[in-house]
Amino acid sequence: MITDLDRMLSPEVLAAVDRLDIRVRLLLEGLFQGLHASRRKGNSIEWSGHREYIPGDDPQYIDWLLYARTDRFYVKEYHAETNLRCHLILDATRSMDYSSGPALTKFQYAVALAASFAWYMVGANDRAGLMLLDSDVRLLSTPSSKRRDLVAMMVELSRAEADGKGSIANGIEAAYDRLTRSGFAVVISDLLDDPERTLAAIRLLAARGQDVVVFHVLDPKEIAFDFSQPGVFLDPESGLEVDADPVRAGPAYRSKLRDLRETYRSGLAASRIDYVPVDTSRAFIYPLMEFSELRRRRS
Amino acid sequence: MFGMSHPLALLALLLVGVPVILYIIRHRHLNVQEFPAAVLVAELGYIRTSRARLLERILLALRILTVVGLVLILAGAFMVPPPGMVRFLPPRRKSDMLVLIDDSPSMDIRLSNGLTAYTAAFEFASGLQDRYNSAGKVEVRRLSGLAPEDPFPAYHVHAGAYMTRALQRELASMPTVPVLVFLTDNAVSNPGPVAGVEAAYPVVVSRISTLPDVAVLNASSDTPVLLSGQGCVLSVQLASTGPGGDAELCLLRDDATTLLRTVSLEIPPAQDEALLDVSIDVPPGPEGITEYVVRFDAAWDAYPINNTIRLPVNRLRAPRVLLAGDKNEIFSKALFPSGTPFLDGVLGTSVAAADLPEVLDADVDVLILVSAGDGDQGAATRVTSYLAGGGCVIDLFSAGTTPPLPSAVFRERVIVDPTPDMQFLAGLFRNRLGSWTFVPQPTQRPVQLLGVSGTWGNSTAVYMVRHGKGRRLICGLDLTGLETGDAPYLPIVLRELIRVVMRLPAPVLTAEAGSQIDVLDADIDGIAGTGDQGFFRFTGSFIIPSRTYPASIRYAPVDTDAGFGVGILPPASEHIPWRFAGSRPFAGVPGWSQEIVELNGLHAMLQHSMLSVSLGASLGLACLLLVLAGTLLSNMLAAERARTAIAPGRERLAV
Repeated sequence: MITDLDRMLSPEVLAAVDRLDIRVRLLLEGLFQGLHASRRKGNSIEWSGHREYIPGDDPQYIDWLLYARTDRFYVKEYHAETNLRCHLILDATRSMDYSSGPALTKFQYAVALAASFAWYMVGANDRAGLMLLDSDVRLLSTPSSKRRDLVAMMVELSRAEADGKGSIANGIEAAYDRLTRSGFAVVISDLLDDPERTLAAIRLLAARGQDVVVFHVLDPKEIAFDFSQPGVFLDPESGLEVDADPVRAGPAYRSKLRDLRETYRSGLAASRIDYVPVDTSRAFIYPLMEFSELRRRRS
Repeated sequence: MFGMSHPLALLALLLVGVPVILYIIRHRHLNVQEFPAAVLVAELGYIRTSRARLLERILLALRILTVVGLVLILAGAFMVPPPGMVRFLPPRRKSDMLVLIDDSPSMDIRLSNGLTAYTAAFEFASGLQDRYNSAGKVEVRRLSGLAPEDPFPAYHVHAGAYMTRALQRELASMPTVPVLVFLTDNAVSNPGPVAGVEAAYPVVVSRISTLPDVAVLNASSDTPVLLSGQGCVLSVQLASTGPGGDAELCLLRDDATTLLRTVSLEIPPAQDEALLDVSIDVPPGPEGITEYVVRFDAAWDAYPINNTIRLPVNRLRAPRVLLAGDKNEIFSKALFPSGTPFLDGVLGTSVAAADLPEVLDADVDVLILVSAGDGDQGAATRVTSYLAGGGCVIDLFSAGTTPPLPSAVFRERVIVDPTPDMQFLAGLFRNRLGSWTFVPQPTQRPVQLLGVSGTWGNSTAVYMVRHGKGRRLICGLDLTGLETGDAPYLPIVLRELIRVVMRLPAPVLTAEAGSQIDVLDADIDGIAGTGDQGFFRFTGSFIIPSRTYPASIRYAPVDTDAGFGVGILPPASEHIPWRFAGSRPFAGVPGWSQEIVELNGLHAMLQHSMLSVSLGASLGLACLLLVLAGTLLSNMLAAERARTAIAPGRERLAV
């Protein structure tokens, strides 16, 4: 696991991540200044406006030139730049532990993606935290911008296994209860659950002030369903067995998957949530680039 | 039962194991692979594996049941019946007791308790089996009395002589049977000597009283004899060697001698023993008109002197017969005492010169004249011309009189005289009436015949004719005074002639007085008489268009002393079960009654089936129903799967 993680977080990969210009659309609330604008007015260099002086205001922000013209006290205000609180929410159910080939499983891929995000966030002096979900929150690490916390989080990610059971929608609802402040939430899951419930749960995150992006991770076989032989297909999480012929059922399956993705895409877009479909056969840098492009267009 | 000790049990086990092996092989070939998105596949409507496996198991069970059924059917021959069921199958091992049941038609006579003799014998045999068959050593067989060399068993005359021979053969073929029980009526001519022949074995002959209510000395039946003008000559020639001795039996067909045989006659003659079996010695004749001749030259005879009767056989259609004369003629009185079909007798006596041309011009095959040409010398020329054209003329005139026309005119001439030979010939004609189609006399209305006549012991014939709209009729018989001793061999001759025509596959139409019966086809096996009991009957198989039908009639006089019985019994019970459905007066004739017989073909078929056949058929039917049910279930599941797999706007998935 460590070896895989090291390979995924290789300097080349991380260099590519550093070049990403992730822009957050919403103004984030933060205690520390950073690259991300905050809803709070602060002492950054970007002027925001004037307001009438109220007793108790710091006199150093009084605009004396304006006082000379109007004979009234006005206080100058600036946009405060704060630290971003990023919550990396990973689906750790049993269905994520699947790979149709020698490549990474969906969970390994999600771990790499989350680690990249965390690496980037901490490098930008933002905070990054981690949640592992099944039907509940299995692991919670408080967002932090410290390097040692980042290392600890990496260790946790390396040790994590996708062996949980239950509805990921329930897990997201449980995560919602843990998120008390606004921030940036990255949900990485295969979303193999009831779409309506899953959508509702993700929308809860946005309703709490989170800037949410959803990475829908699927194995290439789950996307194409191009098995050559008919057989029994076993869902390792629920134990469901289905007897089908992929050659005959392939077109219908792909059509259904397209419908499912479109359901998520449209349903999330209505709540201003970004949706990024992920194919684990591709390098995880591509979904990051796609996400960056989404943010660029949105800004 | 069919246990594992039987060598075929292993084969049966292997057969049953075939579906299981196929199931296992098929099941192992299922490729199970992990696929987290299986729920999406399931939403496409594909059968979940649990259902598929359930379906496979159901199909496996159906296949096993099918194979088991087939195995049981095949094993039917090896199954030992439970006590109470009589089986007529070859024994598996040596029997300790052999029960033979006389299965000849005479066993179908009802006893006073309402059962037939065969039924009584069957129940008795069942009782023996129940009592002694715990070790499976009691074997029951039936003796039909059929001659093994008889290639036409359907036409066989079941006579006691055959039963005697059959019993002798059976005894000879079963030399190791320690106990033999023979259940029979009195059809065996002499069971005592028969048993004595195999005196080494205890033979128990249980006679079942089957004396009929009425009996006649002998009888004959008419069969689909179709006559036309090409001629079939029955020649009975006067012999000169006195009583007994040898006789020559000759059968001609189309002027060619088909059979010539010398037979030894006994005094008194063995009336139930056939001298000639035409069905064996004579190949079937061609379609169309065929001339059959039976010539019987007995060493001692007293009747017809140089009489020839043309009896051609035409398989294509019934002959058209014109009967001249009127009801006042002597022959007419003997033939038709009731007056029909002469009605008003317009066509007068002796066929007047004015009538003869009209008669000869009629479209008939057989012309029966009474004293033809009497007083009209020109008639000879006309009759000769008519004969030259292929017509058949039977001239009847009284013995002792001078024939109006010279004998040279006719190929055959029948002398009618109130003597026994005349009675025989009259009866012979009457026998033919059933198959003749009487054309209307030129000046008369269509013929309507219906009547019963005759008294016992007075050389009288009985006939019954119905010639209705559909011209359906057959029932004729001869009860000539054969017990007078002056005509001992005429029945033999007549029988041989009958046996010739019996082989013809022409349709038989039967009818009863007052109603019409549609008999599609029938084969008269023969007749059976029992001495001077005044009883005889017809036996044979009838093909009738419905299951329950008054297809046969049985006539019996109320006063057996005053009359005689004419029985046309329904087919033997082993062919079609029957029962008397009621009785009613017959045609208004005093002292006569008519019993209606109902037949049940389907029931007969099932009843007649052997146990193994019935069991096999039942199991086969059950298996077939199971297979059909399984197929139906499979189709329903497939249809449901196809229905759920199709969604609007989506391509149809092959299931």
